[in-house]
Amino acid sequence: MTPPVGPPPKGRLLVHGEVPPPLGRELAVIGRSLDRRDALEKVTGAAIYSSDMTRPGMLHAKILRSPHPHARIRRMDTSRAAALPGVHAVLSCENTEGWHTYWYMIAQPGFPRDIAYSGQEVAVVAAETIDIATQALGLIEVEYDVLPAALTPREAMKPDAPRVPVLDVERPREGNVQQPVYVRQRGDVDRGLAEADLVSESHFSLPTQYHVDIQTRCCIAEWDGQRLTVHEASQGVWNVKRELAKSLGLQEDQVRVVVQSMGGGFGSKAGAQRVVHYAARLAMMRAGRPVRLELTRPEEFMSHPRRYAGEVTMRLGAKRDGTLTALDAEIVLDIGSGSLYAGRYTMTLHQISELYRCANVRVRIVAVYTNTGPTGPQRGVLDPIATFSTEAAIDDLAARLGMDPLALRLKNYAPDFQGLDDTTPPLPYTSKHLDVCLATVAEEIGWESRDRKRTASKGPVRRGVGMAAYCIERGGYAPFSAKADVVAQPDGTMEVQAGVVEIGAGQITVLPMIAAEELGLPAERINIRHGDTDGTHYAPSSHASRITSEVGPAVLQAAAQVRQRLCELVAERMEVSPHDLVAQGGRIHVRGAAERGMTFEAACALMPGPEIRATGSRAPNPDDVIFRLFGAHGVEVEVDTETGEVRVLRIVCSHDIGRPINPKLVESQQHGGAVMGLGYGLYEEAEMDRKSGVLLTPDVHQYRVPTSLETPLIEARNVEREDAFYPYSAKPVGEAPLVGVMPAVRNAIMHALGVGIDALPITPARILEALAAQRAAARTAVAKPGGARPAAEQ
Amino acid sequence: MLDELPPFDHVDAASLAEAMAALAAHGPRAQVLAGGTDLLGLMKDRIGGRGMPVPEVLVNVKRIPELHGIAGTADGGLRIGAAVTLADLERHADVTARFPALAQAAAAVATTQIRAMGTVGGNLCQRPWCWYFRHPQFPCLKRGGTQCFALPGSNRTYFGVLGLGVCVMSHPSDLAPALVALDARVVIAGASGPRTVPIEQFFRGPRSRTETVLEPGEILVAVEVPAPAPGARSLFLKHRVRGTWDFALSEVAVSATPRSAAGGNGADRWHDVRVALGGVAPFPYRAVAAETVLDGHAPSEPLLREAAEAAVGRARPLPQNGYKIDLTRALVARALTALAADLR
Amino acid sequence: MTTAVSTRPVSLIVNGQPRRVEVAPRRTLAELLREDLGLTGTKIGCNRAECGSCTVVLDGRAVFACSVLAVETAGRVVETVEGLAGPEGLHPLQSAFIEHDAVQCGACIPGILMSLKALLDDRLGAGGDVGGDVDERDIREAVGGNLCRCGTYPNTVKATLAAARALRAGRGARP
Repeated sequence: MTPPVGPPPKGRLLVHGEVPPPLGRELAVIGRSLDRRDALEKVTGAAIYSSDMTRPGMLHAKILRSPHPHARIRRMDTSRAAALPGVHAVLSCENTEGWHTYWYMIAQPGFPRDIAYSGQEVAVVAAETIDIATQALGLIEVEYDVLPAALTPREAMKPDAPRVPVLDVERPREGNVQQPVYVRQRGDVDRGLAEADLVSESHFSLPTQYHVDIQTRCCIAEWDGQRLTVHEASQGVWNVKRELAKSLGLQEDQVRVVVQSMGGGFGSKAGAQRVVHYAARLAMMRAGRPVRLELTRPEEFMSHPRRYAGEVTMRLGAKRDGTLTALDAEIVLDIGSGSLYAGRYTMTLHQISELYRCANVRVRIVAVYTNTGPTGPQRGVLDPIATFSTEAAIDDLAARLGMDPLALRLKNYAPDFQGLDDTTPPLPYTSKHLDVCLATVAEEIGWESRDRKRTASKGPVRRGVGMAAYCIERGGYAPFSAKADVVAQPDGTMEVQAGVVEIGAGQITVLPMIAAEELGLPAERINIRHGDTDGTHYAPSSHASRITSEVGPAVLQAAAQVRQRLCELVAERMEVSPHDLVAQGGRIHVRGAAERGMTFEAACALMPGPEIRATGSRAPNPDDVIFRLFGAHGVEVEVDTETGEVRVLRIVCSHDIGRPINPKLVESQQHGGAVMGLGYGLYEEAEMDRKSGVLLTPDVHQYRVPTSLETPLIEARNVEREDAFYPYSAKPVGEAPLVGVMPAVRNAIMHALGVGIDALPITPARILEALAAQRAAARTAVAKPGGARPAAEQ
Repeated sequence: MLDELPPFDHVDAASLAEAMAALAAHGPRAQVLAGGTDLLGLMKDRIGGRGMPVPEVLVNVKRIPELHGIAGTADGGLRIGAAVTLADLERHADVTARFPALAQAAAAVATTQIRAMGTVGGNLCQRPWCWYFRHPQFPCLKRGGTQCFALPGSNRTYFGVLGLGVCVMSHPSDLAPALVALDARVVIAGASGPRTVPIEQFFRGPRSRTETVLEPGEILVAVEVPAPAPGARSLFLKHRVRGTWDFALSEVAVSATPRSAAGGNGADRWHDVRVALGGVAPFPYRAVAAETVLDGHAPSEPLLREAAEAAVGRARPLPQNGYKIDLTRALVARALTALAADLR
Repeated sequence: MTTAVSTRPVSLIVNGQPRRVEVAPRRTLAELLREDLGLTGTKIGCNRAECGSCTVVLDGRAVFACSVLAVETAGRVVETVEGLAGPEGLHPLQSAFIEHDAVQCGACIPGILMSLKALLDDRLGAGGDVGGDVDERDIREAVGGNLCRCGTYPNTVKATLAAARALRAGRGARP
C-alpha cells in the first residue's frame, strides 16, 4: 500500500487559525507500528500509578456507606469518630451542607441526607492509619429512616412508587421518569408499520455492566495552604482541575492535577470522581498532610457509575422483499440513582435511524430512576444498547422473512445520511465505507458457507455464524477547546505539551508521532509532557474516543507551525525561499536536494530566543458534514446444546477506520473492544438482591470478566480510506470495536440453534432454558415465527 | 487496599500435637491455616457471625510432617497429606495414572496461582460460595443467623437442586465428588486420637451450620484413596461459565470396574459403579439411583442415558436454577460415555 | 477489637537479593513487597485472589501475593517484575510484550509477566535450555488467572510465543 501524502487538503484540518502548508512528501512516521512510549516502564514495573505513591505525612481516608438502598438520614453524629486519637478530619452531611461535587460539570450534593442506593457514601474520615480510620467509621452514629425502594424501572414507574432521590442536582422529572421523555422521529412510523407486509417485533433485556478497571480509584490530595495538588487515577486532568476548583471554591490555577499512569478507565474515571473531591476537601482541612483515599474492589462495584440497563422493544416493518418500511424503538432505560450523562440519548439514534434506509423511524426513550446506584458512560455508552437491539432485530426480521440476514442488510443499505429526524437536513458523511466492511467480514467469516457449516455439525454441538453492523457518532465534541503546544529548544530538544492522560489506548504515543511527522524527525526524538495541568493547555479527558481527533489536529498544527518557523530561519540563512524547503529525515533541506540544507539541530540553533513555541487549537466540527464511524463484526460460535456452553471460535472485524496512525495500537483497541463486548454478551452478570437492593456480586469472581481462555484471536481486516476531517484520516477507534460484538455473537447463536436469545448475558443457563422452551413449544405444536422466547425469569 | 486483613496472631505448628494444643488453647478464636486462599478472603471481608467469629489466631499447619506427601499405602492405595497443594496433586504421576478423576478434579480448581497455594484439606473444608454467605450484610443460617436469604432470593449459580434443606447452597469443592467416586477416607486428628471417616460421612447435610464433621480443635490430616480394583477407571467432568476460576455449575465424577461376563461372552459388565455429583447439592452427592441402573450391567448407550436420568431423578429446582437439571443429566451421560470409551 | 500483636523479622530472597523486614502476621506478601520494600511493580487489583494482578513467582510457582502471608515467606525465594530484566537487558518476555503491543494500561502486566515467567522457566528453563516448548493453550492456561480488562490476551499469546522462540534460540535476555 503506498503511503498517503500529507495532511488533509487545505481548509479541512479542524483547527483555529492558520492551516500549515502540506508536507509535500511521503509520510515517514504515520502508519508505522511503533512501540508504545510507556511500554518499557510498564513491563519493568517502573510505571507509577497513583496507588503506588506514598507521600510524607500521608493520612488515610475511609468511607462509611449506607446499607440501605433508600433512606433518609434522620440523625448523624460523627463526634466520637472525630475525637478518636489519630483522626484528623471527618466529612458528612453535618458539615458539608450546600457543598457540591462535580462530574462532567454536573453538580451533585457532596453528602446528601437522602440515600439513593445501597453503598452510597455518608461520611469519610481521614486518620493516621487505615486501622484508625476504619475504627472511626465504627464510631459514627447514623440513624436512618428506611424507606421502600424501587429496584427496577417497572417498580419505579408504578403510580405509588417511592420517589428515588437523585444524585444529580434536580433535573426535571415526573415521578421517577426523567423529563422530557426523549422522542425523535422521521416520517410516519405508524403509517410505515401499516404499510408493511410483515411487522417483526423483538424484545431485548440488556443488563448493566461494570467497568472493572484493574486499578481501583486511588487519590492522593495535598494542600499547602495555597495550592491543591492531586494525584489520582483519572482519565483526564483538566476537567478534574476545573471540577475541583469549582467544588472547593478555588481559583483554577490553585489546583494542579497529575495522572501519569492509570490502570484503566473505560469511562468510569472520565469525570472527577466523588472520592477525589472528598480527598481534596479533607486535605484542605489539614494543610501539609496529604490524604490518600483508595477504594477497595467491593467499593468500586458498589459506588461508581456503571452502564445503563435497558429493556428494548423493536418493531420493524418490512415488505416481503425485505424493504424496511418502519423502525420503531421503545427503550426503557434504567439510569439508577443518577445518570451523570443524561442528554446523550441521541447516541442511540444513529444506529437505529441511520444505519438502514428507512423513511419512517421513531425512537422513544423513557429514562427511569431506580434505587440502584449511579450509572454513567462505559465504553460505547448507549451505542451497545442501540446496536444490539437493531442488529438482533434485523436478524429476527430476516428469519421471519426467510431471508439471508446479510442480504437484508444490503437491501436496506443507506449510502447517504438520511437526517436523524424531520428537522435535520440530509448532509454528506465525512466518509462511509460500511458496504466494504460488510463484504470484507462476509468473506473472512465464510458467510457463503455458513448454512453448510451449521447442517454439517452433528451431535449436540452446533455451529453458527452471525454478523452485525454499526453506526455510531464519534469524532470530537464540544467545547472543542483542546489546545496543544509544540516547543523546540536551541539544542534541538523537542516536546509536545498536551494536557492529556494516557489511559492505555496509546494517547502519548500517537501525539508525538504526529509532531514527528510534521517535523521530519523520528518519533523518539519528540518528548511529550502529559498528564499534568501544570505546563499544558486544556485538553479533554481521554474518553469518547476523542483524543486523536481533538488533540491530534492541535498537535499537528502546532508542529507544522514550528516547522514553518524553522524553515524560515533556515531559508534566511541559506538565502532560499521557505517554500523550497522540506523537513525530512532529521534535516531541513531544499526539496529534491538533500545535501543542500542542515540538520534539525543546526536549524534549531538558529533560533534567536530561548525557544520556538507554537500552540495548535482545535476548531469545532463543521455543521455541514456528518461525523460517524462504521464497521461490522462476524462471529463463528459453537454451542453445546446439552451443557449450554458457547465457544467463540472466531471473531472477524472490519472497521472503517480511515487510516491508522499506529496500526498495532489500533489493533489493540479492537481486541479490547471485542473482549469487553464478549464479557457483556456472554459472561458478565451482576446480581442484586431484590429485597434489600444490595449488590450480591461486588467481586471479580462472581462478576465474570473474560479471561484468556474465553478470548479467541481477533482477526481485523479494516477498511482504510482517506477522510479529510481527521488528522491523517485517523478516525476514532477506542469504542467502536465493542458495539458490534454482542449482536454478532447473539446472531451466531441464533443461527446455530434456531432460537434468538434476547437477554444478556447469554450464559449456559439462558441457552439451556431457551432450548427447553423450544422443545416445549415444539411438543405443544405451537410454532411461533422466528423462534420462541426463553423462559421467563423472575 | 492495604491492611484489609484484621490483626491476628500467627502460630507455626511443628507437629499435630502443637497444632491441636494451640487450637485448644484459643478455642473458637483460632482457625487452621493451610493455603489461605479461602480463609484470608473471608477474613478480609469480616465474614462472621454468631458462632462463626472472625479468627484472631491462625495456626499454620503447613509444617506438620503428617500433612505432607503423596505416598503409597500398604493396600496399594494412596495417602495424600492434607497440606499437599492442588498443583502437586494434579501433576503426580501415580495420581494421574491410577486415579485420573482426582487428577482431573485437582486440575480443574480455580487457576494456576490458586492451585499452587491451595491444599487438598483446604479444598475439602472451604466454605460455601453462596453470595449471601459471602456478603457481610447477610447473616445467614451458617453464620449464626436465623434465615436463608437465597430462598426466596437470588439462587441462580452456586445453589443446588439435590439434597436441599434449610440451606440451599451447592458445595464448591471439586475434589469432593472425585474422592467420593474413589471411595476415599479422610484421616482426622482429634483430642481423643486419630479417626478415619469415609468421605461421604465427612460432609454434613444442609441442616448443619458447618459443612464437615470436624469438631472444634480437630485437624484434617490426610486423605486416603484405596487401590482401584484391577481394570477400574475413573473420570471427572466439570462445567462452569468461564474456562477457569469459576466453581462448577455442575460436575460429575464416575468410576467403575469392568468384569467379563460369565463364560467370557458378551460385553464387560460394570461393577462397583460410583457416580458422584458436585456443584448441585450442599454436599458431594452420590447418585445412588444412577449406580443402581448400571451396576452389574453392560454399559449400553440406552443404559447410560437411563442412568443419567436416574441421577437427577430426585432433583428439585429452585426458582432460578432449573437449568442445572438438564446440565447435570447431560454431564452424567457424557462422563459415563467417556468412561465406557476409556474402559474398552 | 484489636489484638496487640507484635511484628516479627522475616528474611527472604527477593529478585536474587536477601531482604529482611519486620512484619505483623496480617501483612501479606503483596504488602511486604510494595510497602516494606518499595517494589510497587506488583499491583493489588482486588486483594481477594480473584484478579491475578498481584501474581509473583514464589519458589518457582506463580502465586497470588495478596493471599500469601509475609510471615510465611521466611527463607523463600520471590521473583517480581522488577527482577525480570537482567544485566544483559530485558527478559525476552518484556521485549516481546513491547514489540507485540501486549501492554495497554499496564495494571495487569506485572502479574501476567510473572505468570508467564513461571511457565517459561518450567517448560523451557530460565535460559531456554530445558528441551520443552509452549503452545497457545499452555499460554492461555498460564494467564487464565490474570484478568485484563483492556483485552491484551491475543497479543499476550503472540508475544509469549515469540519470547519462547527467542529463549529456545538461546538469545536469552537482550536489551
